[in-house]
Amino acid sequence: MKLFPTLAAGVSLVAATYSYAAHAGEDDKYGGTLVVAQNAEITQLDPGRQLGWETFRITRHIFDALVSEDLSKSGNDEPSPAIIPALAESWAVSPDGKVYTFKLRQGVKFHDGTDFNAEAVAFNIRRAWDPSFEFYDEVTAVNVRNTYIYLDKVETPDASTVVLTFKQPFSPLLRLLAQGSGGTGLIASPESIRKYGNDGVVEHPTGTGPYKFVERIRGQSVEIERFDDYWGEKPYLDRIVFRPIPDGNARVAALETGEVDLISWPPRDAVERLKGEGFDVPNVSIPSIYYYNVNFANEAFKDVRVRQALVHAIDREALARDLLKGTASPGYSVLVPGSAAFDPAFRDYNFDPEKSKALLKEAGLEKGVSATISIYAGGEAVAEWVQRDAAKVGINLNIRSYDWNSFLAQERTPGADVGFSSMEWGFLTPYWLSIVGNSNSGSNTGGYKSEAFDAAVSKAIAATDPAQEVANWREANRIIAEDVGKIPLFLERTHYAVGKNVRDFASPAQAWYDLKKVWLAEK
Amino acid sequence: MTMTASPLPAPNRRPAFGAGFRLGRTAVALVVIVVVVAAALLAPLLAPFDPLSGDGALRLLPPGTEGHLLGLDAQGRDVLSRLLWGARPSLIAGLVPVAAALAISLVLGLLAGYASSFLGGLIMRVIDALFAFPMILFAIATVSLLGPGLTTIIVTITVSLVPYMTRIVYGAVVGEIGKGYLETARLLGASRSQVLFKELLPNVVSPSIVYATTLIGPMIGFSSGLSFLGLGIQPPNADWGRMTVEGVEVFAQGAPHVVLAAGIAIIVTSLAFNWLGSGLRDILDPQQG
Amino acid sequence: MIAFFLRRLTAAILVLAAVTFVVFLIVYLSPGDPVKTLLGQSATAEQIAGMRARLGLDLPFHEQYGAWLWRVAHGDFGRSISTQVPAMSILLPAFGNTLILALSSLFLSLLFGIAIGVTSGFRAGRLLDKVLMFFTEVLAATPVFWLGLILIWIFARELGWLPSSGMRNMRARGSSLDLLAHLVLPSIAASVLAISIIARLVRGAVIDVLASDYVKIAQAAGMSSFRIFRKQVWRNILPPIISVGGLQFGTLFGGVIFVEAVFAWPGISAQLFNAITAGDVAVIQAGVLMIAATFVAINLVVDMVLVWLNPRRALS
Repeated sequence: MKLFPTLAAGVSLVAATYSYAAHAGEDDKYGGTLVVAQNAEITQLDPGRQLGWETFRITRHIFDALVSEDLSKSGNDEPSPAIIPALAESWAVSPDGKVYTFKLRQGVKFHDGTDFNAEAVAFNIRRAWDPSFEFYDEVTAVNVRNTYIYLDKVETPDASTVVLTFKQPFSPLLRLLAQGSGGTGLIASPESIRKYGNDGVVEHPTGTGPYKFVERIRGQSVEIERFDDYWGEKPYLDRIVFRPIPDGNARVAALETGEVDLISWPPRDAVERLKGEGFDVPNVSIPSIYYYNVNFANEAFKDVRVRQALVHAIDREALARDLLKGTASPGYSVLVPGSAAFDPAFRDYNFDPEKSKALLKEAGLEKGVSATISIYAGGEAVAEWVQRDAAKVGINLNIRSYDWNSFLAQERTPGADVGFSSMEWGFLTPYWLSIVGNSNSGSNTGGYKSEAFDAAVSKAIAATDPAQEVANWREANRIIAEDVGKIPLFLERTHYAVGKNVRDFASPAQAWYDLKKVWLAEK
Repeated sequence: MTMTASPLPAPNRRPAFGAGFRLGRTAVALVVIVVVVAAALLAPLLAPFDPLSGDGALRLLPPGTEGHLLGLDAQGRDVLSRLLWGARPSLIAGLVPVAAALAISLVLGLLAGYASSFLGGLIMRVIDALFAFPMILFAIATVSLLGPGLTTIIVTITVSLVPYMTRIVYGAVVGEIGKGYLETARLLGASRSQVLFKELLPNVVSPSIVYATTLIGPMIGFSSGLSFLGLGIQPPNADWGRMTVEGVEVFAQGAPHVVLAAGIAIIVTSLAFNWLGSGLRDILDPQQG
Repeated sequence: MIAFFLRRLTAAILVLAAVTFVVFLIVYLSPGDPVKTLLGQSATAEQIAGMRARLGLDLPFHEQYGAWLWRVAHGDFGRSISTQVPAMSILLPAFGNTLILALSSLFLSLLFGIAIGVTSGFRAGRLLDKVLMFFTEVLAATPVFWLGLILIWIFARELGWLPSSGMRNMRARGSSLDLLAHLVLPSIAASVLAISIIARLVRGAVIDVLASDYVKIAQAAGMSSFRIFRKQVWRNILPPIISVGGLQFGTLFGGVIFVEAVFAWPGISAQLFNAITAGDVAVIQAGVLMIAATFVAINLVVDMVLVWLNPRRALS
C-alpha cells in the first residue's frame, strides 16, 4: 500500500464516496450531536440583547424572525443570500415605501407551547421601541435601534396580519429583520418575557425556531436540541453544543482531536495545515470589513491630505497576500461585496508611497507625523504591518493593544494622540454605510462628519426606486472613501474550519450560518 | 502567625552538593548572567537586523536561513535580533520588581517583627489581604491608568511579590529576635534604631537577598504571562514573553523556532539566577550552608 | 484554641472588608464601562449616560459602596451590569469548576512534591538528587501557558491520549472518568510550580531531620530507612507541608488564569477576567470576595491544624 499512496488514497476516496452515496438516504441523515467551538463566550440569549456574531449563530436557531435569509448556499455561489419567508408567509410594501404588511404563518407554536400570532410580533416590537409599553426594555431598544429608528406605528388588524408604518420610506427593513448584530427581528415568546421578566428571560430563551434551548453553562457550553413541533422542515441534527474556546491554537487542537466538529476563526497560520490534514476550510467572503476608524479629534489626521497619505502608503494587496496568506482579500471601501451597492471596480486610493510623501509635504509635514493606533487583541500583526508601511513615508504609528472590553471602554473617548482604532464589522444592506459613517449614528466611532455624505445617505434610505437607491448609496460610498472617513483594510475569507465528519455545511455570504441541513456521516 | 511560605522554591537549607560542584555551578550562572546582560546592553551593536521591521516575504523561515541564525518570525523579522533586544525589557521585568519588592518588604517585615504588636499585627493583616487580592485585577487597573507596557509589568509584579517577600523577612526577623543577641545589645545601651539597623538588618538582609535572587527568573516567565493576556509589552516591541506569545501562535504551524528560542532564553536565564542565588547563600549565609 | 479561632475570624472578616473596599475603589477609578458592553455598538452617548444613571453608576463612591455593602450583608450580591444576570449565577458554577481544578492540582502537587522531595532528601548529593532538583528548577522556570500548549500538542494532538480542552465530552454526557481525563493536562500545568516548591521544601526538611541526633541514634540502632521515615521524618515534615500546601491552594486560585485560558477550562478566571475588563463591579466584587474568602478560610484552617499539632504556636 505504501508504495502507491496516490492509488490508495484514490481507492479509499472512491470507497468513501460510494459509502456516502449508499448512506445518503434521507433517513440516514438524521441524528447525532454537532459540537461547535466558538472564539468567544457568547453574550445574551435574548433577541433584544444579543450582540456579536457568535451569539447570533446560536439565537437564530432558537428564534425565528418574520423573514429569514437563505443560507443554504456557499457565499461563492450566492454573494447576496435571498430574503425568504419565515414567520411571515408573505409581505407587501406600499408604493410610497412606508407601509409593510406581513401575513403571518398559521399554527406556529413557541417552544413553551403558546401560539405565535400578530400579538406576539407586536409585543416583541413594542418591547424594543415603545417606551410606554409595560415590557419596554431599554437595552433592547438600544441594541436594535437600527431596525426601528424610523418606525411610526405597529398595528395588528387581525391575528395573522401585522402592519408596520414608517415615518419615511425604509428600504433596509427586511434585511435588518433577518439578521443579527446591531439590529434584528427575532421573536421571543411573549409568555416567557411576562413570566421571567426582561432581565430574567435570558436564562429561558423561548422562540419558534428549529432548536430549543436546553442549557447554558457559562464558560463551558450552550446546548440546544431539535424542536419537534417546528413549523418548517425537520432539521437533521438531534443536538448542537456550542463551546467557547477563546485560544486559537486550543480551538484547532480540539478540531484535530475530534472533540469538536466545527470551529470559528481558524488561526491564519493553521489554515494550510488543516487543509493538508483533510479539513475543509471554506474560503468565502462575508459582509464584514476590517477597517480603522479615523479619530477626527487628532490634530494631524483632521487634514484630509494626511489621511489620504496614509491610505496611499499602505500596500493592501501585499497585506492580504503575504501577511494574511490569502485568508483575506484587500478592501477598498467600507461597503462590502454582496451588498446591492457594491462596485467591484471601485478603488479609494492606490498604493503609491511617492504620492503619499508629496501629500505630506503639501500638508507641511515632510518632517514626519506621529500618532497612536489603538487596536483590540488579535489585530497586532496587521497593525505592525501597517505601521511598517506608514513609517516608510514618515508616518510614525505607536500601537496600543487592548483586550476587547477595555477597547470598547476607551473607543468612544480616545485621547487626541490616537489617530486610528481598529474594528471589524459590516452589514449586507448598504444601510451599513449609514451605521458606520452617518454623523447621527452611535456606531460612527471617531466622529467622521460630512454633510454631503449624510445627505446622500438620507436620499438612499428614503429611495423607493431600487436603481435610484443604489446610485445614492454609491454616491455616499464615494464621498466617505474620498474623505478617508474610514480606512478599509481587508475582508476576512476563512471563517470556519469544518470537521471530517460534517456534511453539507455551507459557508454563506453572511456572518452566521444555518445548521438545519447539516448532518454527520458518523453519528 | 503562619509559617513563612514562599510562592517559589525556598533556598535549600542544607548543602545539596559538594562545595566544588556548587562553586562551579555559581560560576556557570555568573557567566550566563554576564552574557545575557552584555547581550542586552550591546543589542544595538550585536543585532544583525532591525528587530522591529521585517520582510513579509521571508516570514517564518527556519533557523539557518542565510544571515538569520535563529530564523525569522511571523512578520519576517530576525529572531536573533529580537531576542537580543528583548533581553532588555525581560531583564528589567525580572530585576526591577524584585529589587523594589525587596526594599518594600524589608521595611514592612522589620516594622512588623520589631514594632509594637498592634502595628505588627496590622501590617501582617494587610499582607494577608494582599495575598487574597487578585493580581490580575491589579494588573488591569494599572493598565487602565498607565497603559500597557513595561511600567505596568513592573508595578504589577512588585505588588504581587510584596506579600510573599514580607512574610520571608518577617519570618527571619522573628527568628533573629528569638536568638537573644538583640536583647543583649539593648542591655548594653544600644538605641532601638541602632538595634534595628546595626544588629537586625544585616542578619535579615542576606537570606532575603538570596530568596529574592531565586525570584528573578520566574518573574521573567510571569511577565510573559502578562503579555499572553495582552497587558505587557506592546507590539512591535518585544520582550521574551511577548516573543513566546507570538511564537506560540505559529508553533503548531511548523515554525517552532520562534517559541523555542524565547522559551529557552527564559528558562536558561531563570536557572542562572537560581543558581546564583544558591551561590550567594553560600557566601552570605555560610552558617546555613 | 477557641479564643485563637475567634481572634483570627474577626481579623479575617476585617481583611475581607478591606479587600472589597480597595477593589471597589479601583473599579470605581478605572475607566472600564460595563454599560458600553451592555448596550453595544449602536448606543449613543446620551443612551449610555441614561443607563448609567438608571443603574446608579453615577452616584458618588461612598453611596455606591455603601449600597453594595448593605446588600451583601443581606445576602444579595447583585446583578452583573454588563449582562443583567445575577452575579452569583454567573460565578457559582464557575467557582465550583475552579475548585475541582485547584483540588486536583493540589493533590498532584502534594503527591509529586512529597515523593520527589523525600527521594531527593534521602539521596542528598547523589546523582538522582541532582537530576530531580534540576528538573524541578527547570519546571519552576517554565512559563505556565507555554507548558500548557506543549502538553496539548504532545498528549492530545500527537498522541491522542487525552482531550485537549474543556471539562467534559460534549457528545456523550460525561461520566466521572471523562471528567478525570479532562482534568489531567490542566492539573499538571497548574501544579508544576507547586510541585517544585513543595519538593524543595520537603527535601530540606528531610535533610534536617536525617542530620538530627535521634535519627542518627535510630540508624545506629539498625532501624530501617522506611521506619525512620514513618516514625521521625514524616512527623517533622508535616507542618511545613500543610503550611505551604495551604498557601499553594490559595495561590492556585489566583494562578489558574493562564491554565484556564489555555485549556478552555470553564472556571472562574474567564468570568472574572471578562468582568474586570468590562469594569462590571458587581461580578468583580462577588468574585473577589469568593476568592479572598477561600484564601482566608484555608489560611485559618492551616493555622488551626498547625496549632493543633503544636499548641505552643498559638502563643506566638
